[in-house]
Amino acid sequence: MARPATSADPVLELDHVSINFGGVRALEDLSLALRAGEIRGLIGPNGSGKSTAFNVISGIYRPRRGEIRVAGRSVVGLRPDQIASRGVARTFQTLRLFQAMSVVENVMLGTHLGARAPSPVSILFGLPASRRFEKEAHERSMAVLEALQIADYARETAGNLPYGVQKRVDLARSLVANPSLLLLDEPAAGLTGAESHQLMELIRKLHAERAFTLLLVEHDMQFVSDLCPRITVIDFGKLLVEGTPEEVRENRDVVAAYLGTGELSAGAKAGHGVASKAPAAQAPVLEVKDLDVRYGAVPALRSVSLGVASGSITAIIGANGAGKTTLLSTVSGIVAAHRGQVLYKAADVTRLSCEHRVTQGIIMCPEGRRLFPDMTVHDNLLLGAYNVTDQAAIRTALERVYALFPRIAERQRQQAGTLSGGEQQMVAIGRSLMAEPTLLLLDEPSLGLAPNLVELIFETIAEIRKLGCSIMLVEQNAAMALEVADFGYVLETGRVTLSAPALELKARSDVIEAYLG
Amino acid sequence: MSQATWATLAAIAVFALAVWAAQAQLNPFYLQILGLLGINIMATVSLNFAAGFGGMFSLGHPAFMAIGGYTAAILTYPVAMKSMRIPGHPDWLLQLQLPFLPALLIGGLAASVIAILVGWPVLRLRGHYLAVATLGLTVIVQVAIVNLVDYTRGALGLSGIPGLTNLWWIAGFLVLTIFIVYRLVHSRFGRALRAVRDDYVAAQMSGVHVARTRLIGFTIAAFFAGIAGGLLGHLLRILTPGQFSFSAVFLGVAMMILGGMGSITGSILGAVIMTILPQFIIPLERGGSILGIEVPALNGLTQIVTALILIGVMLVKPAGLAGAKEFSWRPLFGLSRQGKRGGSA
Amino acid sequence: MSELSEFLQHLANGLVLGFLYALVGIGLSMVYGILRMINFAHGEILMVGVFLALPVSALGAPAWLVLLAGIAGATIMGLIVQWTIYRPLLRSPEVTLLVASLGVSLLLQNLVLMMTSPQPKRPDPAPFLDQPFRLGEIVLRNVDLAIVLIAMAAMLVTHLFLKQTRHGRALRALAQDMSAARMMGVHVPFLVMICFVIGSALAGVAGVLIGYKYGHLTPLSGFLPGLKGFVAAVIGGIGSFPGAVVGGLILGLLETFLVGYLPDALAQYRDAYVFLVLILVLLVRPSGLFGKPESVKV
Repeated sequence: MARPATSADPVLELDHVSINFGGVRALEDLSLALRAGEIRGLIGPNGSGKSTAFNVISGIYRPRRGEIRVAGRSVVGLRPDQIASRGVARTFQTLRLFQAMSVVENVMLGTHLGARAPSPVSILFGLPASRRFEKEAHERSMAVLEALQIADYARETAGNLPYGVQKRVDLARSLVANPSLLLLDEPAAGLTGAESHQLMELIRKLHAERAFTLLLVEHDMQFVSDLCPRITVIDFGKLLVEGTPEEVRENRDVVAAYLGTGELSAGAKAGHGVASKAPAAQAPVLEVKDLDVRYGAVPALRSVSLGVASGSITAIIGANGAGKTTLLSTVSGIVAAHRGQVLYKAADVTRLSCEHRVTQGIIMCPEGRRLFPDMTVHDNLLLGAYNVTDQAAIRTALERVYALFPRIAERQRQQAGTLSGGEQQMVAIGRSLMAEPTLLLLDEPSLGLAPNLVELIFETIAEIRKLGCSIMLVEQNAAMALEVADFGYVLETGRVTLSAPALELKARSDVIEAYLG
Repeated sequence: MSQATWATLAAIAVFALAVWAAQAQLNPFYLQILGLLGINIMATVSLNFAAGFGGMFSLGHPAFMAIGGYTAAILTYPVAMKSMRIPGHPDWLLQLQLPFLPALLIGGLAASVIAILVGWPVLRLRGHYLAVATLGLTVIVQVAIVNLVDYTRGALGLSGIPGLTNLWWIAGFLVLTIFIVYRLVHSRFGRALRAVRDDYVAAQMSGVHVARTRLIGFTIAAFFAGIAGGLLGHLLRILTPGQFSFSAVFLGVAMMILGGMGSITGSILGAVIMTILPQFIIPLERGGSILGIEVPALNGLTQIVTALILIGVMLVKPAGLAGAKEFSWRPLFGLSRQGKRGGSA
Repeated sequence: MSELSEFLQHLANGLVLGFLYALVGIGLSMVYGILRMINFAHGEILMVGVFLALPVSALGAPAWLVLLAGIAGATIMGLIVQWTIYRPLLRSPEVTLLVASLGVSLLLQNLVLMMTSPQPKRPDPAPFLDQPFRLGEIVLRNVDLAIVLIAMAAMLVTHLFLKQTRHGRALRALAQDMSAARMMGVHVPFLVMICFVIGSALAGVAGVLIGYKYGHLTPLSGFLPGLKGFVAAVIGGIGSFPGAVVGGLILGLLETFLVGYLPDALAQYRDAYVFLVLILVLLVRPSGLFGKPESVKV
């Protein structure tokens, strides 16, 4: 912290920032600068490092390398509350409200760093200084609540309120602190089109009044493009492109980062198109009707209906936050549906527990692999066959998995947590095959893998179909998913917006729009 | 001054009247029970400050009561008896005999000092770990008292403590404790403390120094526990390590959760119920005849009832009797219609 | 006694004590690993087990039968507690489970107090166990040897169960990632029951062995072993089976050496030292020897 700050300094500066989590490079050499009063969007595919960037700026994590400066002064190594005192405020993707406190009290926390905090003596005896502080804090908070049109909820307990209101409380809490730098983490998540439009207008108005600098992380491309004159795109923790919304949308690297690239070998494509008719034409192995799923107050799926044809590979694609994982989790039984039905082999399994569905043949291979890190590869695989008691069947299944993935056969006795990403994905898929699934749910199998491994995984997926298993595949890498799938659905903010045979979807440009706005 | 303030002052006046009447009319046995009641309320309210409002589930409160109690008792102990019974102390202390109030306050301070020393490393821990670590503090303090015989008279207990307290002292400190805790909870500090309890990451982003806030809350709670301990010693005129053992931990937790964590009103309720109720149960413990039926001695019945309350509340209504609600004059005076919008609560 | 002999004597005594702590700690560790709760009533389950075995001993049964009775008693008690109280509270906040387990601890202590006479009890003497056992200059009793052998056998059986059977694997998986385990079709309530059965059974073993070794049984006899078992589990890394074993041995040795080598005045604080060790470990390396640090999720 050698040089003193000047008024020409950017409000926020990231200078070659890097941070690792375990073996994963969450941010790599990221540099970024925001001028005073700028509104900047920060976007990138799932796992690209956006949240990590926010957490590093706000001091929750400390970068391994690089500098972060707020108004010219370094903030690396400072505690989050110290960084907050430099005029930085943020909202959280998961809201993080003070659930047991009232709305106005939540917002009044934003005044904590206000001027002239009253002394303990003053507090104890209710002296004028403390009463003045409380009055001012209360008035400022109510003013912000009015501006966000939620003043009527002031005395309600924060935890009991609908999602949309809670989001505004989070926003109010950070606004009342009158920050010079405001970090908004997915402010439009879970909002309907009309709600997010309202929010955008609100942010514009407040920005005009208060002239703060704003850095915004969002998945809703429409929102970002309309609000931010300039956008920074990151992928794999690295800076990809920086420019206007139009420039970003047309940039090939950005399109590739979001939709993926790649082609399958000819061999893998054989058998493709076998089930290219719409699922309703044949007896579907899975049908989902009018599914409504919520996480507490947050809506994740709205009236979703789709089907998986028997023996087919059905791809579910869409931007992050669209609800793809929620869909798979509901089908597998981990998450309960609010409304709607899940029909498996024509039987209603909506209220059936996850464990039960596994015995029926619905097997989930979760996002991020979720291996048991301290157990060996062998043990992980055996766990996949937990409900299978026939030792011979288990042995056969093991042989089949090792034949499919020779690389992990060599590492049988190795602890699963020490394997590379690609190997872990192989083990994860292998584990889900151990119980001979009828319906295999694959959640983002290519996430975080290098391109050559991605191809290998997808070729394996094509192989698995030959075993007679139906597959429901969720992928961010739309290109590869549509290569291997027979039929596809596009999800956008919890709704199905497109459905067509995979070959058709590949050619359509509105798929790109679904991702990039 | 607002209507609510007048009402509160009136209530305090009525309370003072009640104390005067009790002091004048009741026999010593009932007076002592009322005294214990006041002390229990103080202990519970202060425990709730740290655990309910601050989210720091501490099982070490008896330790702070012990420290405050023994410190105050040693300071007021008659010089003549000191050298005989607790000769281990340094000479200047053996010659010293302080009046009640300073001794009491020093006892509270002693508890606060230990709270800072212990709290600074230990408060980083969360949930169950903090509970066990603070339980360890209770064990350590109890073992220390038992073994430092020359300083505390060990397991025999320190008897002959001057009876310097009465219902007025206890009532006075009780009102003070409730007043201070209430004002703190509804202040900028109290908001920060509750924010740390609810979500410390978000609290940090609002500019709250988490470690310092927790430590201050913990220390304040310990101070009042120390005062309560001092009052206890001078009320019963004897202090033994057995008073600050696991039973004390359980009782304290029961009083707090029965009333409801995060509510001062709840703590008062819980303490009242758990102090009065055992008075009806203790006779049963000794056995005898009730309504003509012979009942055998049921040793430990009080504890069993305490345990059943602990378990029952968790199973049926974990929020306790009062939940997180606080007594307010508002409904009585219809202030909600014309009063100020919001207010600091 | 020469210095070396004294050292070896302490070593032997410490190991014996350590095996007892290990037996208690394993159950606590496993339950915490899966449910993220400290079962404060674990020590009481141990105590109930041995108290239920006392009448069997009074009838003149051989020691091994008393041991089985203790195991059965503790296991049944553990199952009852888990089924009636912990299971309904599975999804409650941390504090609720903590308070409930405190309540169970208090309840069991006082139920036993109410139903038995106040004198300390011991199992009927088993002369074989009381006989001295010499290893060079080290003097032990047969009961000490029995403790080591039985504890090792019990731990071996548990280890084999965890490693080789499908339920044992599922148990290990549950501790690492509960929701991924559910995706494998693991039925969580059933496995939680098995977890309590194993932990309680081991506690039952420890209880009877403590009864034969120390003989001074009261309703409060379970509380301190329970807490010390927890300290052992923390030292080794809570949630880890080998951790609990190693932690138990370390704690047993530590306590014995401290008491053995410190002057009498300081040696009386043995229980306090154990908690000081706990606090130190929690501050310096909360994940223990074999555990993994828990990270903040934002």
